[in-house]
Amino acid sequence: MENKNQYVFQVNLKGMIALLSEHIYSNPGTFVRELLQNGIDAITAFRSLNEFLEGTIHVYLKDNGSMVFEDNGIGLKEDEIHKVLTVIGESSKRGELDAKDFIGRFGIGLLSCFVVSNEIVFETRSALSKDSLRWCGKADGTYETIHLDYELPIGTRVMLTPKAEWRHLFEYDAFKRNLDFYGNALPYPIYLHKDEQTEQINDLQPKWLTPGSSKEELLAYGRKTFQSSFLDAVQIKTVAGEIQGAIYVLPFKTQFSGRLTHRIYLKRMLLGEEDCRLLPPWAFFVKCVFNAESLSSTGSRESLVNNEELRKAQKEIGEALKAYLKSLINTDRDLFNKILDIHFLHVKAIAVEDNEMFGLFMDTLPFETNKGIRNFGTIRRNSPVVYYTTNLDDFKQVRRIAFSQGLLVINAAYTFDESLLKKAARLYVDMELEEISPARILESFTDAAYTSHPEYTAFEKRCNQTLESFGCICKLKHFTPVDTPVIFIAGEKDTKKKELPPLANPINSILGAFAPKTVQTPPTLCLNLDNDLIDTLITLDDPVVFEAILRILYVQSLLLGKYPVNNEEMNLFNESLYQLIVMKMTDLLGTLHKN
Amino acid sequence: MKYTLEIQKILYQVDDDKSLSPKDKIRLLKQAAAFADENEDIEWGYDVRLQLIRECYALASATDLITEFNWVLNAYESHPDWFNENDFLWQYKWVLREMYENPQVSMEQITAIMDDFKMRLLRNGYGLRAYYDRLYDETLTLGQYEKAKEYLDLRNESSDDAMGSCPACTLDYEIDYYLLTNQFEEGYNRAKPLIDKQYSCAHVPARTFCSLCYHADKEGKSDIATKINSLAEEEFLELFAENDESLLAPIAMLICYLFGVNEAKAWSYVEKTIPWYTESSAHAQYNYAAYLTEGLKKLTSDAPVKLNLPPDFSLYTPTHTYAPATLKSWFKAEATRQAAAFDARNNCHAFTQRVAAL
Repeated sequence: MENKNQYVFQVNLKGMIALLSEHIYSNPGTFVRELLQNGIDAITAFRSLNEFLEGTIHVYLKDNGSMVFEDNGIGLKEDEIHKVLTVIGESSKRGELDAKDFIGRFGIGLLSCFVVSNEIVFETRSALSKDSLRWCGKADGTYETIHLDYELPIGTRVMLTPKAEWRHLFEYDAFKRNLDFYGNALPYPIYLHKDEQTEQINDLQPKWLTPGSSKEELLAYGRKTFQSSFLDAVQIKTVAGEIQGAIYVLPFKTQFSGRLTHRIYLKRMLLGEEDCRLLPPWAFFVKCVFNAESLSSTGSRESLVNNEELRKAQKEIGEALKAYLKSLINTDRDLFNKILDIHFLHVKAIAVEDNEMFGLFMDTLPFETNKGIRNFGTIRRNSPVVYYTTNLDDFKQVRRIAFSQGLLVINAAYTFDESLLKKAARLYVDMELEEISPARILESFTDAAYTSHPEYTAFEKRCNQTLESFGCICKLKHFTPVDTPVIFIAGEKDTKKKELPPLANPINSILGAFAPKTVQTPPTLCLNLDNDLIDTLITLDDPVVFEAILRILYVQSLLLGKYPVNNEEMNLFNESLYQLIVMKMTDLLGTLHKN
Repeated sequence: MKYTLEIQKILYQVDDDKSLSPKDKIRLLKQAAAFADENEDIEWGYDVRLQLIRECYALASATDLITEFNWVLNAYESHPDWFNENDFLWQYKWVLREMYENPQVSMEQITAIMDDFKMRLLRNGYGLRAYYDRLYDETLTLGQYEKAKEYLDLRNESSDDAMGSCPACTLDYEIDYYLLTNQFEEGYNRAKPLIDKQYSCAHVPARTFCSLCYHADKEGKSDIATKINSLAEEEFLELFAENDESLLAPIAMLICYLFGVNEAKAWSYVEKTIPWYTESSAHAQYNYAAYLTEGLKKLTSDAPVKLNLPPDFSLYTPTHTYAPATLKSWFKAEATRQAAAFDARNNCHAFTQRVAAL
């Protein structure tokens, strides 16, 4: 069947403008960027015909609040003017600029002006025509074109009268700020005029874009732009995306999750203050100012399209950053150490990712150990076996015991630490890595000689009976220091976990199938055979005194090991102590009475 | 510091620090759970564990998921008036998947747990869509296609509710049926909304693309395979960055395809995913090993390759040099071992037959 009822969608311009202002553009000042972009595009298009053209942009702020934006670019012919709003969106590519692209983009630029003004007037004369034309468009989508009876210079002048609510954007300082923000790196001079005053806004040769700029010049730019005294600045250039710019090393510690502002330019027009994925994910310790010549922007022109070229560029930037850090080790060790002090976490992230960087940095990286912060080089030289724990609970338990055993243990619970240590174990053949846990330390203590001392077995049995209600087992061992009578070692990775009673829940039955492969150690009270008190306790017959002392030792070991002590345990501790005091006092009074 | 503040500090860190991997988050949340447990605070323990369970989704190992889910279920049963069963019914579906994926869980245990899930769904006013979804998926895995279709129909007849999968996952599961029953065209056509990204979810369409690419290649439709592969690559850029280990099995399908068209890429994916292998579920290991065996057969040369693999990988060498033939034999042995365990549990030969045919 033939379909004769074909219609074309009608797009509501007012709705489009609302869409642009509320959803696509992040701030109302965007129209300044769009006007600048139109001006630059027009100049670029004209320069493709006349390479000697010296492009300029003039902005005039009038006393009545209106504004005139003037460029000496290619201008528009009458048929192109009619196309302006009809070919919007036809092309959004950022490649070579042809006339059709220019017109389509010119239209998008104009739409953004409707965000701040109800009416747009532009006068233009094309380099390819003698007609001088005026176009007057309204936000409701109507427009008229008038042939002027006088000759305009080649170029375009856009005239805007702001809506009341946006009048403040057209005041001199505000407008200058916006022009500077978006256009300070543009390659053609931009002049802002108000009354008799004229000011050039942009620096045609910004230092961060000039090859061979000195460090001082770069740092001065960084200070002015980011209001920060950076530790260092370095210039960067990539093949992918044709990026040029500078990277600044922050003088303060940053969070991986923090949001840093940068300056990203596309063809020297400011795109935005986010890094647009140009920096590798670990590079949170730097700010950057980059200009990309051959990457694509997203529809809002506020970010870059995440494509293969962008990823290549990111990789190159990452490599350059690594090369910079690498060179610092040889050229400026003090600066490198300073960077390491502040940004060691980021350097760790780089070392995890890259073998070469790992080799260079690993020995200098700081790790938390039971003997304070040590760099890896020192740790490695300390012993051929590097001990570490993977979680804070284990570290807290192991810390005290390991210290008395003369072991140096790393707390590798922090991000990247475990990965770095495992990498080190792979790469350094002379190094052995051993994960340590309280249970392994317990294993390292010398066993009691049960065969030659049968009393030890009976003693352990008595102890186990006394502490049975706490789910704790007792072991006699020889360990140092000898003045420590007992050490409590909690169940492996199971620090006082509150188990709920198993109920009519079928999942209880499958827990075994998902249990970790390692055998868990029950909470253990380790009694030191080399300690006098324990030695005496073994020979103690009085069951009341024995139980009171053992309970006190048990709770004391929890307190010393910084384990939580519940009410029941605390009450028992107090009762036992009270019992001992009363017994001792009774003995004392008995002795006094006798005397 | 008061323990509740410690817990909140950890929860804030987990929410706020975007650089944390799922493993880091779980490590932190376990510390928070320990604080709650030390202070016998079941309510905090419950809340923290719910978040912990959610983080387990991206993990290869199911140990934490099952252990913590069991704790939550016991907490609910102990104090049904304190907590809401709806809090964890969605995550119960993950537990169902994991128990099927572990051959040590017997069929009797699976039936008891499925009945328990069904009972909880019904008493909370839900239909059985989620229940049939699981049965459909499992019968499909066993190659019982007629039975799978019955469950698929039952699922589609059940009313959609908050326990049913999202449109993206629903479609993704459904497409598998067509791909596995030699109806590639039908599956491909049905996948259009996923290809056009009208529907998407955490792992969909990434998972769909892997499956489509693999089957398109098997059907000799290289144009489609090429197109879908490039779409899959885009998806995996993000997922790789997030280190989502639960995608081990789907990626293996893509690797299998890539060994025939882009060896370098295939090896780079192998390098990325082998570290996830050790901790993955037996089922994921079985699939991964089977697809890799199939993929490695496509190689024309046995020239050694340089791969940066972790030391806990069984074939690890400090020189990082591996012979493809050795890898292939090892993966085949792995696939055979796991297949035998699954077939013993499932009382069938579906898995061993598949591996034997490789």
